[in-house]
Amino acid sequence: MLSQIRTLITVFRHTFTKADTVQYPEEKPYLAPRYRGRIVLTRDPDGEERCVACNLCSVACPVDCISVQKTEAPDGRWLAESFRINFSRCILCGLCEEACPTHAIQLTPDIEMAEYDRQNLVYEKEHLLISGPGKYHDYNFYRHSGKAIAGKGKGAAVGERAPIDTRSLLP
Amino acid sequence: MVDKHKVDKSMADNTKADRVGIIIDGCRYEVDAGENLLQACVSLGLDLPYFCWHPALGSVGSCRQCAVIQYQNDEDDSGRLVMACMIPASEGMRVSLQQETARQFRKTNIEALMTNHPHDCPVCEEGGNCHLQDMTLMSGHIKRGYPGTKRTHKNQQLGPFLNHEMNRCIACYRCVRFYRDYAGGTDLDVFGSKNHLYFGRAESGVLANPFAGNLAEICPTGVFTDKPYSRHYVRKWDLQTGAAICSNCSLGCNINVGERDGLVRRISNRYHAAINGHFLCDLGRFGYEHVNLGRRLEQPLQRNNAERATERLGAKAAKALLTEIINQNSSHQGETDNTQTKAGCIALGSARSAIENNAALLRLVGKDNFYLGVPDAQAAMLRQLCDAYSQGRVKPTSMKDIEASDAAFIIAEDISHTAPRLALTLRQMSRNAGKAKALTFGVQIWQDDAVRNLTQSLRSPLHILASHETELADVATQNLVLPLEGQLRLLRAVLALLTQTPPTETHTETQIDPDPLSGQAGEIVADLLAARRPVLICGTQSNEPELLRLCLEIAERLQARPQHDKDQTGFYGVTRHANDLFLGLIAQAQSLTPSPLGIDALLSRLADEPIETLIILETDLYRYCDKDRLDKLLDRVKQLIVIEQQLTPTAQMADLLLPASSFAESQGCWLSAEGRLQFSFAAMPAIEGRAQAWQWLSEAREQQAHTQTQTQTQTQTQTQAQDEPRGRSELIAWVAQALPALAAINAFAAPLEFKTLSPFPIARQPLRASARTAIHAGQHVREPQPPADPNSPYAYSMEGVAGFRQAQTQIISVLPADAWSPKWNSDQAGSLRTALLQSPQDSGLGLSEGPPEPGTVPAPGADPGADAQASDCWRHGICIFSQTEPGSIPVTVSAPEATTAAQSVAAQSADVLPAGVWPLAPDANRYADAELACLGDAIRAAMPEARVRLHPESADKLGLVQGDDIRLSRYPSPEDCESADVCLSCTLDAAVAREQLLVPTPVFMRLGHLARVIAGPHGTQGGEHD
Repeated sequence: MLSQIRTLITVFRHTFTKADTVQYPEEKPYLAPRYRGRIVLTRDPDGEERCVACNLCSVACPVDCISVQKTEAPDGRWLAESFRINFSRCILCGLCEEACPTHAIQLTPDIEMAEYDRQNLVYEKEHLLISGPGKYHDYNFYRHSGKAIAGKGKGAAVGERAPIDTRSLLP
Repeated sequence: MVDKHKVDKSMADNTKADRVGIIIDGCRYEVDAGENLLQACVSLGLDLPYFCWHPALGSVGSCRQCAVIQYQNDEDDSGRLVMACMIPASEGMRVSLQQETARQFRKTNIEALMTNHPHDCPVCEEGGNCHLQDMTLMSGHIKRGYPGTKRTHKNQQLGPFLNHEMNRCIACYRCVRFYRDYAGGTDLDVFGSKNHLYFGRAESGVLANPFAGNLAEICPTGVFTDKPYSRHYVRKWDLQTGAAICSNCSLGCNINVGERDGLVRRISNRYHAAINGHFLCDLGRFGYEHVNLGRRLEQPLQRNNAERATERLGAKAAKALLTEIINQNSSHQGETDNTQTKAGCIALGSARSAIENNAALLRLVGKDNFYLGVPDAQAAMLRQLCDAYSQGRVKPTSMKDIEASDAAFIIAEDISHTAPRLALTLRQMSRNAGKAKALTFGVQIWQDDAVRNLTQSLRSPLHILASHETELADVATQNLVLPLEGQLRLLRAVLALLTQTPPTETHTETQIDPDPLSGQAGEIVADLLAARRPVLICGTQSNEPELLRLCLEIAERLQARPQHDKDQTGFYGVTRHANDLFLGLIAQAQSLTPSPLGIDALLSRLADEPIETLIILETDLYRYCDKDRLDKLLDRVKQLIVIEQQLTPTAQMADLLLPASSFAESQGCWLSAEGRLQFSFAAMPAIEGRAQAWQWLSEAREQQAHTQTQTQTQTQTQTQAQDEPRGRSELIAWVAQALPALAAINAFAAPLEFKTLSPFPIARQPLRASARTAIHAGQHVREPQPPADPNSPYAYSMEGVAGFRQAQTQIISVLPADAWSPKWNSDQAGSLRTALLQSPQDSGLGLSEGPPEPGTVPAPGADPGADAQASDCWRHGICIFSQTEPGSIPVTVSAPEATTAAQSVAAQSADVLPAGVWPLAPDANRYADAELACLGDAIRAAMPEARVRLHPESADKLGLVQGDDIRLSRYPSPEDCESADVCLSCTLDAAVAREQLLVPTPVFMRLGHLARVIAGPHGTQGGEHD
């Protein structure tokens, strides 16, 4: 009896509290800037694609929804020939971003991806690639990596000495 | 204890000595005596990191990574630091892997190795398959503490097979030790000093050694990586792997085929103790790209002559059409009963197709209408080999035994090109004298540096008889460069010396003057007789049955010598194609016919009588015959059915063209030149329009049989067609019955049945295969079901028994035992451990005896006790000739082959020939001769330009200089049509025998042993000069 009254009071009290539900499409909820939503592929400060098709996002993905095929650009960079993500499977967990060694994959707060046709949720590289560096303004993988590309030869990366002369016996 | 007296005599038994007990971290283990401590630890499954050690290369102790603490005695509790790879395991030895000093040493060591390692794992092909990654993690080094700068290197271009990225090097020396010491290469070396070491060539250029591809596997990090794999790269964890048999040559090396998304991505070595061990040749490793070609046949095609069009057919329609053609044929035959032929349907088999495919064709057309897909002379030689094997006159030897032998004689076979992996084996064989010497000094075989120091230039006798200097010349005791006629003369002299009769008895021509070759023959015979385990290597390259007959006779004589135990005289008959020996067995079964039914016999039959239907299985006739002549002959055939993988010139002539699946998409049996029957599993499913030839043919046959016996009931045939596993086992049973020598094939009748230890299929993909829900999402977002594979124990998915458990629960594992278990994840470490864990005693330096090969194999699943033996047939294959004793299999002895006119002329010396006619010899090239492999980009890039090689003196006679064109035509020219000329540029080479022209194998196959040189330099009539 007492508990029933208490229940009634609780219910009655809620009539006057502010509703958590918002009228979503008209009224947007606040999402933190680092909210985990749709991924993008960013570019390095020089405007080149950051993704090197290393496949680490693909293997980190718990629902196996990222498929990457590597190719090589004429300048020696590794590139994604195709980068496909099936957002109808994606759980927005952010593990791909964590796995990405070049800061190419970054999650954005955009979660508004509803579609009538599931096929439209399959995003290819051109749908994902943005023109800026995203959260990391300065990082350029090839400036740190020992791999030579056109315009950055051996020994030109950060923390590297010039290539050795194999014919020299000097200490 | 190692019995030293026994050791120096019998190298074979040295590591089979007793076991010793050692104490590692307080636990007592039993290991092989004389084994080094590192190998012992790895064999026991303990985690001890290493880089420079390799079971095939031995220890040098250069990387300092396998440090352990060794205690003097039970009281000693501080011990001293030793390198495990450099100390032998001895009784009662007490060591610690886990002691803090040792662990700290290993961690610091790897930290030092990593100071210069570039920051490029994401863009490294080795990433995820890297021994350095695994060992770094295992040693516990996580964070770079060194603040200084990194030294860098410039890379080199190393040709079509390998990428070079020197920055990743940790200076373990494995590459040069393999390339120079093991494979005999000269153009890779180490330069510089201290931490400026540079492993590469003196300057950029193509690595010349045909085993360079192994560097990609042997390098513990990513300095040398697989270049074709990099072009269509996927990470190792995404590869769907099938345990296949290499079909590029006759050795039957075991390979793992890695596939993803319908493309074969790479081929890696699958350890087989008795065949390829740890290494593959470059042809085997890179010769797969033809599978991925976009222009491969995808659908059955039918020629529509009325509309001058080609019609695409569905698989079902094609099968129906095939059935119709064959049935029509047999019914037509019934009406107008030709006295000449029993059936109007004849067929040509293939030497590069699996046993099942040939067998299905043989069953369909019958023995008398089945032609072997090799020229007549080759067929005759194959029959000779099979006869000798099945009568027990000679017994083929495994490559492991060849490696353990102590003298070899290679006869007229350029094995560096026709069977490259065998050449590597013989190179190791030549070291046995040095190893034996080392053993007498008490030095263990795995003490690589010490053994080489003791060896110096001491080599086991290796005699090479060839028409030019081969790539093994640098390790040969004697290089005999002779034209065919001289080769025959020498072999007769050898044979005569062995039979202890004067060399002139058999051959009257040489009676007049004493043979100048008898001295060399004497040396050969002396070495062969002095050896404990001599081995003869010969083959079918010469295309001369007489030569093979002599070789077989020499082998027989050698076995008959009293000082030789029968089993210890080796013989290896190299053949040209992967399944040649099976054709030999068919030829044996056809032995009622006077001459073998090869391609020449087929062509003459085509010329003689009108043929209703000709079925050609995976053979390109245009490789063996002039275009004009063949065009005319094929036009006479009413229905030409071709089953082929690629659109070859023969396939273009077909009325009905059925696409065949490649080695990567088919499962079936292969019979290697050693007589080892092995089963090859598919790595990927064939697309809808492609099927294995036996699948195309068996339905047609079933319907044919059906219509012949009773009225056709549609439902019944349909159910039969669906029941594929039964179709195959029925076919296998038929083979076993039709070819008694191949009765052992019954063991492979049901691939499903070896899966006895687990109810689940085996996963072809690793547990961590990625992108399952995205890879096909481009076509449709719905994930398709993985393709079913009802006929094999494997699944085309990651479902089933995972890779690293396979070794425990399955008899045959496609993945290294520890793949995707942490720590021993890279292919090289994993496969190495698989080898060690599988059979501890036969992983070593090739001197030990493995477990006995199964001779007779019980039916799989017959009784649980037979499991181990049944497993052996899947893992090791079955040596079908290993149990044959003389007379055990009744064989109708075929009459000695009547040598055709051309062959007997070839055996004459050059001065007897008419002017302008020159003897030809085949100049094999491993890449250019591989019919399918040379369609791939990488192999094509490695192919040399086709040219004629001749001795400068011969060139003088012909009035030729380097680079001139030389025009050859068949001699004697065929009657029925004008023979087309072959025009090639010539290269002068003093390493070639005089009085002969060395031409590429395809040209040799087309022209035969003799050719008229009709045009000399610059197209002028210069051939008649001499």
